[in-house]
Amino acid sequence: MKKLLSKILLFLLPLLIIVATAELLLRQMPNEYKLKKNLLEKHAQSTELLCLGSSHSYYNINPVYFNIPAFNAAHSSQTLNYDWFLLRKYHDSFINLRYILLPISYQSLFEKLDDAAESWRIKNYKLYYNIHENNYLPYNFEVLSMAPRFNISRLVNYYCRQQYSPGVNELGYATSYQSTVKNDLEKMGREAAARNYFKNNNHFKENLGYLQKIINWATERKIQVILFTSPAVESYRQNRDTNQVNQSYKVIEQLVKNNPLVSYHNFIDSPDFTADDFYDGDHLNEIGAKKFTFTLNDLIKK
Amino acid sequence: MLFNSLHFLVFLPVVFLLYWQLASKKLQYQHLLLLAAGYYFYGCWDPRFLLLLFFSTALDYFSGKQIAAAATKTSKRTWLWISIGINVGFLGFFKYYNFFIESFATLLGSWSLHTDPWLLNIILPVGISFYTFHGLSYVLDIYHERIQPTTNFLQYAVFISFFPLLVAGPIERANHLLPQLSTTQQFNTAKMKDGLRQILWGFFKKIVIADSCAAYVNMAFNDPAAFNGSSLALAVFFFAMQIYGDFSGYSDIAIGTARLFGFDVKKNFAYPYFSRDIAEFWRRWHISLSTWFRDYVYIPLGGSRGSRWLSIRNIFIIFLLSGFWHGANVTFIIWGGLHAVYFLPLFLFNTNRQHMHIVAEGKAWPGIKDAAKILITFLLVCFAWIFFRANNLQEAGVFIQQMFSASLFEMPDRSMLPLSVFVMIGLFLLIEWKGRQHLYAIEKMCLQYTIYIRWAWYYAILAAIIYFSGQGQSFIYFQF
Repeated sequence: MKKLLSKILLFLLPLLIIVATAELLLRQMPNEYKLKKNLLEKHAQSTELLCLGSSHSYYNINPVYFNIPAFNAAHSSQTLNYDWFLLRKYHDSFINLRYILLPISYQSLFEKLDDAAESWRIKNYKLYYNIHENNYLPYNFEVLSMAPRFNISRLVNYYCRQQYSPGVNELGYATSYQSTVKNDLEKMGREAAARNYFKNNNHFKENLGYLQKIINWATERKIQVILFTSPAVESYRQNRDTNQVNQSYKVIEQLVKNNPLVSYHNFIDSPDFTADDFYDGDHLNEIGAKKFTFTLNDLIKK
Repeated sequence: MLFNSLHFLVFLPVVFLLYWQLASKKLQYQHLLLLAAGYYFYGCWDPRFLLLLFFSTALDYFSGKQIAAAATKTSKRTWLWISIGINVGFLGFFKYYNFFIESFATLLGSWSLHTDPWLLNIILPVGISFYTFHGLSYVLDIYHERIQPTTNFLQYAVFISFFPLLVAGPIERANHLLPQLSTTQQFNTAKMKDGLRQILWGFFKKIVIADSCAAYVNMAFNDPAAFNGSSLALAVFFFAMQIYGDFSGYSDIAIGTARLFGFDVKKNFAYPYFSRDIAEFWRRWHISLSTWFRDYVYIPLGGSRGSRWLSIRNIFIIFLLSGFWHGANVTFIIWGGLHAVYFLPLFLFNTNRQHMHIVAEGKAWPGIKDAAKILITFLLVCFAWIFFRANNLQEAGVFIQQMFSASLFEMPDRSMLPLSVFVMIGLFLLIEWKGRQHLYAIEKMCLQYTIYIRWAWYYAILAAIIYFSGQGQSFIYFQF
């Protein structure tokens, strides 16, 4: 048996070396989470307005256009639990914070990253933000978090083709959704609505809990929490499930009623945004993001 | 715990090392370890059903002893039916309760008698169809005096809970596995290597072939109206590859894993898509289930010994039962019925035992006649797969209608033409063809070459597995 085991180990040795090397190379690569973590730590103390949330914040709000120092700490598919974990991790650094901007989208109260299709993103929080709320072992490794062919593609693109764009500006806004790209907004709006529909509300109570924690933390420090729903195209709005929408609105209404420092603003069907402002069914391009940021800026000034 | 999971990747080596290092000297230690491993493996799925597994084990062990000890045929039959009744009762309840209640409610509804069906939120215990049949084969073999009951409960418990076979077969027979369990297994390097090779090939079938096809199958079956006829035909082909890769891949992993512990488990698939008629297909597809139904249902019913009509009745019973075994859905029954219809002409014209050896035995390629037979058989099987895959009869109808429209002769949709998948399927079928005379395709491949070439060959398979992994598809037969 010892001879067989030695042969097996010898056979697997090159594979283990390749995997270890791939892990090292993947961790060395720049990525949006690593970059934003460094930027957040750089700007945290001066930040007066913090944007949290999912891609509806990440791509829709460009802090450059605020009159006060602001930072966009949102990430794609970032759910309320990770909003809270980020806030909790850096709470000592936000010494000048006065506002928190948090999107409450169609799916916000129903989705949890840990169960979502993009749960692989949890490895970024573990590896680069050092947030270890999820105990699933593979998320401690780059090579085990994503399908190998995606990692191979990442390695080839970066190390061989030198193709990488951070896609994030100095204040954390995602710069990749450009107006030069023309997508089928109607089709993508329908698809986004379908993708964000949840048959059950297993995470509803838990998400409400995290939202309340954020609000409580902010209230203790007299920080205003501005909840909002960002603009979306008509096909997205029309294809949302009424029950899911109404459940969210009901909760928001209660939160605003019970918390004097919490306000809610619904921009989902704002006439100020036209097709030229959208990148896809529920995200703005750089023109739309500028417009939306100015809108939010005016709101804050009032 | 899935075979293609990190958990299993850690579990298997630990059990393997403990088995051969600590337990190798004493049979009892080997059994205790395998029992613990089996219950842990099953408990990872749902610990609530460990009690059910234990109860089923104890019931059949006790029934077997009673049947053997019974003085009269009547007593034997009583104990047999107690065992069958309780086992099938549990299976029926967990698997078919809601189906029957809903069907009954629908029937009442058609007579304008409306009722709220008392449906239960029943979780199907994983593997129940498989370990129930393991246990039933034991009591039935004792009843027919083919075997003597074992007096060792631990040995019997290991037979039922043997983890490689526990959740999706192959359905082993007591007279094949129990004798192996009664002797201390000795480490055999050649057997281990063979087991590892079969496991490797099983993972290739599952991850590279089955999981790659799954995405396209799901796309087409979820929204057939969005695709033209030729795209849907391609989707059916992909499903044929998916279910074969998935199920035979699982069987290869199970058989290979069993070999790592020194046990020989009977093969479950023998290159069914190279069959020249439906009778041959059913001698090569899910062999452990089809032989189980043959030995314990078809033959006791009279088989083909009685009149023509009796034989036809028995054929339909077997195929419909096979369909029903797969799940509580009319589509599975239609699938089984279709195969009965395919089989019938062969039986009536006495040609069902025409092709007993593998096609083109000793030759490189089949003749034109054999190639045509293989193609026709494959097309018939694929048509039946539509019902197997569809969620309900209506969906199957829509799918078939769309597939057999004029758009069947158009170019398939681009989204259904993944080059890498076609290349892999092509290579896979070629390897399967080349290795069709062996237990599994790569059993003897490259063994005549040096270790460097052999290892290069294994690395190529492993590289494909790694590259295509991460598609997150579970094994299809776990739902049965």
